[in-house]
Amino acid sequence: MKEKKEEIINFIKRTLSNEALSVRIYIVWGILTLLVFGIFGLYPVSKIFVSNVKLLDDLYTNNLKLEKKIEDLKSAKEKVDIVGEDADILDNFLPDEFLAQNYLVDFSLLAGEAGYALDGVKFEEVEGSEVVVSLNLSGKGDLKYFVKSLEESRRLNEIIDIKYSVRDREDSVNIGVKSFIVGEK
Amino acid sequence: MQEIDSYAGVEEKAKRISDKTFLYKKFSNDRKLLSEKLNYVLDNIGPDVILEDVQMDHLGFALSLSGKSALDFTNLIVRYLEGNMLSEIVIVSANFDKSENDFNVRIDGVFK
Repeated sequence: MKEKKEEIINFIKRTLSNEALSVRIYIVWGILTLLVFGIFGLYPVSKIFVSNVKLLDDLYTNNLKLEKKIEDLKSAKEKVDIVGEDADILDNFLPDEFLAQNYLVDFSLLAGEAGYALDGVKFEEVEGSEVVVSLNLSGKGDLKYFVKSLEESRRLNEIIDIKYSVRDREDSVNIGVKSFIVGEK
Repeated sequence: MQEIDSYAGVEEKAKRISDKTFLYKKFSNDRKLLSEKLNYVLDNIGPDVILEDVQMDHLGFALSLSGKSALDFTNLIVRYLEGNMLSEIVIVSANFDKSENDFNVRIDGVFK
């Protein structure tokens, strides 16, 4: 066994002592090393490095966007603060949902100002952003003023139709009104 | 992070106000107003003719009137046509009550 081992070592020594042959072996070895650890090793390392650079670029871009977003939010906050309680008034004029009692008070007040008594109010079903209301009034009031008041009301109204009958003691008025809410989108 | 937290809800509130303002303007601009037409119909009637009944919408109107002279109704129709707001005016019926010496006239009008 020992002899065999020495025989192999001697063979290697003999082979490497031949300069022409050993140069070729070193060249092949060098090329193989370059391929395995150089080109084949460089590729994944480069890939990881490039992806990290891309990640860094994304982080930088996101940071810029975030800074811009904060600026926008700051500006929006200033504007919202300026609007303040007016937003609540807007909610009142254009409510999210239909609350009959609010409309009843409005119509009653407007009718009273125009010299009419509000005898009846009929609320139809809410359809999208519209609510149709039928008003029955009586009295010797000013119809033109009442209609104008309804249309100029901050709570948006559109008059659909008017039926007006002149009587000796009390006139009779029936008005169909379409009122607007935010409703379902 | 704290700076972002201090603006929590601002964007949502700003968007809600913006959307509602847009919607309010849209509804306000899109709605049709009837008061001008009502004023036109009633103001033209004048003192010589007595209004008994009005029905109107955005398309047109129907009037029931009474008066002592047929000329007053003719003048009324002329006034309506001169106003340039009607495309059509029709005398639907005209009755003369001999006992009261009164004309009862029904007029329909169509807005332009």
